[in-house]
Amino acid sequence: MMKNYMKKSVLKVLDYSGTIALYGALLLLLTISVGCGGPSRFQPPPALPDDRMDIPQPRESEINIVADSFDMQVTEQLDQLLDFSRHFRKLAGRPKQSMNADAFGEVPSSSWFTNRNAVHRMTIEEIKRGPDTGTGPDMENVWNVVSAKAEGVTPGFQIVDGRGDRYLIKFDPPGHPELITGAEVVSTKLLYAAGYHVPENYVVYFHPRILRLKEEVKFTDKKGRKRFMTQADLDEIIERLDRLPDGRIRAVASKFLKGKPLGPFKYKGIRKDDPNDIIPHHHRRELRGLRVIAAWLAHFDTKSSNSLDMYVTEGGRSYVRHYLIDFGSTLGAGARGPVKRPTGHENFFDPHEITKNVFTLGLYVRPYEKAPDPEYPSVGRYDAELFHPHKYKPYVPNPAFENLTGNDGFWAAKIVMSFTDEQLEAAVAAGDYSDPNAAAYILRMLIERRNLVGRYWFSRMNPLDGFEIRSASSGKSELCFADLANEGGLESGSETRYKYELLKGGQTIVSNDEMAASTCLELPVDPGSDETYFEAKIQTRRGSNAGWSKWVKVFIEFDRASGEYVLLGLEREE
Amino acid sequence: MKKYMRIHVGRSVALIAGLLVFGAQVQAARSAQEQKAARSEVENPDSTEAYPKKRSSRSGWERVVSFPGRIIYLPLKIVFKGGSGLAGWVDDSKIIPKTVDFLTSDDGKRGLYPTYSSRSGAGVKFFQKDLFTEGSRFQMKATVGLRSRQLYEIYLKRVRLFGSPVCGEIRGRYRMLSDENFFGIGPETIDGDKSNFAHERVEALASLSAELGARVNLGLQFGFDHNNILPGHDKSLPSTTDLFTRDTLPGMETEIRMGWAGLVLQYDSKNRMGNPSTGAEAMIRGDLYREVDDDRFGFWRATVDLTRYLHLFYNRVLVFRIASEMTESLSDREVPFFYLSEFGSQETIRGYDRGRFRDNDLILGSVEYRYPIWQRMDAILFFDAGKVAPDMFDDLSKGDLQYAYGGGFRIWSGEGLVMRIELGKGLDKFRFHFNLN
Repeated sequence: MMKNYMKKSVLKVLDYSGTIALYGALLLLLTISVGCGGPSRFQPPPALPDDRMDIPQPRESEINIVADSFDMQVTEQLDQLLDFSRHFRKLAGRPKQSMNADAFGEVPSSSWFTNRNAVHRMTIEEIKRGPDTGTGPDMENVWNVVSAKAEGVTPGFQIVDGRGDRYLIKFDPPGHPELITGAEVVSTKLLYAAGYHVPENYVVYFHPRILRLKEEVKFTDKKGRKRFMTQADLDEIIERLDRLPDGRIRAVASKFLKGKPLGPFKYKGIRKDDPNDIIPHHHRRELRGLRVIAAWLAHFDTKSSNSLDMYVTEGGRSYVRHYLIDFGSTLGAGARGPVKRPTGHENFFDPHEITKNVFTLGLYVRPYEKAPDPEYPSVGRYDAELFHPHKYKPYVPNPAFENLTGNDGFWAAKIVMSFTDEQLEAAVAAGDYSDPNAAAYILRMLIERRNLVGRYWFSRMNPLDGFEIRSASSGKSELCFADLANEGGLESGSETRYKYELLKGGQTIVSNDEMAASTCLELPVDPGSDETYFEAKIQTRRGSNAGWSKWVKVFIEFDRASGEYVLLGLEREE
Repeated sequence: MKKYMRIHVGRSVALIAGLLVFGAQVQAARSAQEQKAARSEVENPDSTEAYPKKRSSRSGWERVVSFPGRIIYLPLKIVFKGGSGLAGWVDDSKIIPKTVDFLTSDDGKRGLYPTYSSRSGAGVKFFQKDLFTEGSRFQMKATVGLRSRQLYEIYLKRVRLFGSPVCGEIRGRYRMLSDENFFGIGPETIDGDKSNFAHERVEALASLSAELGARVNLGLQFGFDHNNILPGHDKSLPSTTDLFTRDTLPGMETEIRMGWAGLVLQYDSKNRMGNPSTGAEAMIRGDLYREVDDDRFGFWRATVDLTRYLHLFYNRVLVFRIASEMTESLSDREVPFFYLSEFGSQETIRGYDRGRFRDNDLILGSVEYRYPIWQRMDAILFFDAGKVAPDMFDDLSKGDLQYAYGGGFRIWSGEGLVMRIELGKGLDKFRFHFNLN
């Protein structure tokens, strides 16, 4: 009997192990196919429809911060762990690419994003203006306080000014004048210029006497009780704030967005009741790439709650526009003062780091532990020495960030590198820092961190871009490109060499081991056969001792009707 | 066997082939739909009737490959979603601030809080600040634990007397410790001799203390204890009351009333409360105990307890502690066994049961290494050693120290220690210690 039982058990195990083995074999096959597969001819991604079509109003929805943080830190991590396709893509070196990039890796303007500085360099005036449509709240008349909150670390209230515009008024933490208000405005300008939809944020100086408390103002007190606000409540909020010598208070006035608020968007999945929202958010390049831009600005608080969907009407169409909001937690600023040392280096709850800390017995001192305290009260913990663009971590894990690929990072790095020193200076000036040394420090850090972002991503990916077909003086067509690392001043043009291979029908027809410093390669005058499809594979080398970079493949078609070459798209090796 | 294997491998092949076919069909159908949708979008971009199809985040083959993971994930997802839903409800409903608001006065001077200790159990604590003088605190506590453990306390402290630097303090307490351990007297006791008793105790205390500078405090204390030793609640162990009598173990009886007086000198130069990294704590006290309505028991006790915090680097801290206690009977009187020095607890040597060793004298030393692992959370490694002895000066040289080592975690706040979890390995076994403040 025992023998039979054992036999049955062994057979069961064999059966189970056979299934596992076969499943493993299947997955291996898939891995190989994912790794080696791919179309022989470049297939441009299908064109995406304009996501600003007229739609009925979606319902409002709220996201609870605590529940969302729990989901991002626990549930989402488990989801990723058990997503085997993700692991196999990783093994095969073929991460899942964004679903909304075009054939050249660019993101079309949409309800999420508008191509700005990286496509058409903005003027200094445009940078300074940012999203602003006016000059801020009316300072000549009283501000009617219509809502307030005393709970939380930093108090705030909403006002309606003399023009009838509504603003959210936010303040600096006591002892750190200009810290949050400066960071909020500087980052607003930069995120706007990067292409994101952001609210109008103004630095304002007001005297408390212009505040008028409206009747029956709803109020949540420090104990979480909802009731009507009293003058004593308002006075208590004002009393906690730092004053300027003339009695005024510095704040940020964030203008209410036009349209109907629908609540925050999630960084994963889609909004089911928005017919325009067809791309899963974690596969949108502008949200994945935000990780790089957020790292540059030390924007650690990129949780869903710091976003807002607005149902807007423009040009006779009503649709949902997606905004990023609340940038007080950028440039090293935190709600109580400079951020804590681990911020940006670790998630708030980071099991990997905690485990490492436990097992290294405290003998390993993390570099951030050794960092000095900020030098200026108005500047947060914002440095370049400890900044590693690819290692920057938000406070709460962000599913879009965790899907970042080399192509997404490169796209975002192009945006970061598109900012000139003068543009950054203009953005910092908008922060209206009273201490010029503090402003100079922030500017220096923005420049240094920008260059670190560029160096990292432009070395990880081949930074050749801006491909175009030109007619050479000889009458031949040329494929020309820009080397973003050289243009950004990160690398020396004189030490840069390129090699290329031109393939026709899968066969190499022209190759050049070292194309010198030329950023143009000649194309055949006439393809001379029925095959009109070409691939140009280009690699880069910096310095004579360095190896060749990853390739960029450019896909070209010869149009017999016009007798000209046409660019179809490109692909970058990751 | 081979045939059986062939059948089951064949089934597996069929299953996986089916999955593959299914995945391929799904993928084909989806891509056809997407192409159709893309075409209609291009043809009719302004259409509000036919909206574009939403894209799936996973392709067909990804769904197939992820299928087993999805199956595993589903029940876990339900649990975690429940967890996040609960967390969200707690936050949305503001139940915590509302409860605190309900239980405390608006000015924060009066309130009711839950409390827990492993020795006395869970219960509530009521407090009232500034009752007679500013800075005073009146509190009442009631806790109940497993096996009928109970504690009821009324406490008025830090009452400044007549505007002077002298503070008064009074406390009344009833405590029923229903399953205390007894292993015998002396350093040679063994774990197998463990027995169990209950200790019922009523205490009254009055004290006067004066601050001698910012860091030094001198206190004079008077107290009265009423003790009853009863059978223990843990029926799996022999009862100490069955094994010993008042003749074989002094104090093994009821109705022992002791009066006592003590003098305490305390020094505290810690740099912060929750996770001190530098400074020291020192306590020297002397107590004299006499039986109130009889003359059988009487003794004096001297205690010295020194702790030094040494900052190594970047919040890595070494904590050195040395403590000693001497208990000496007065002339021919005796010391009740429950007043003897004891070790085997989180406060003495970790890794042993409470009361594991008892005797007149005690000496212990401890080295603890603390290092940060998370915000407001440290990991610790410790080595404790010590011994009890009838006479410390005679027996210390024998070198038969008891020792324990282990590690743990501690969570702290700006006001003090919040939680401590430690696992210690003594000579007998591993012992888990938990403390929540």
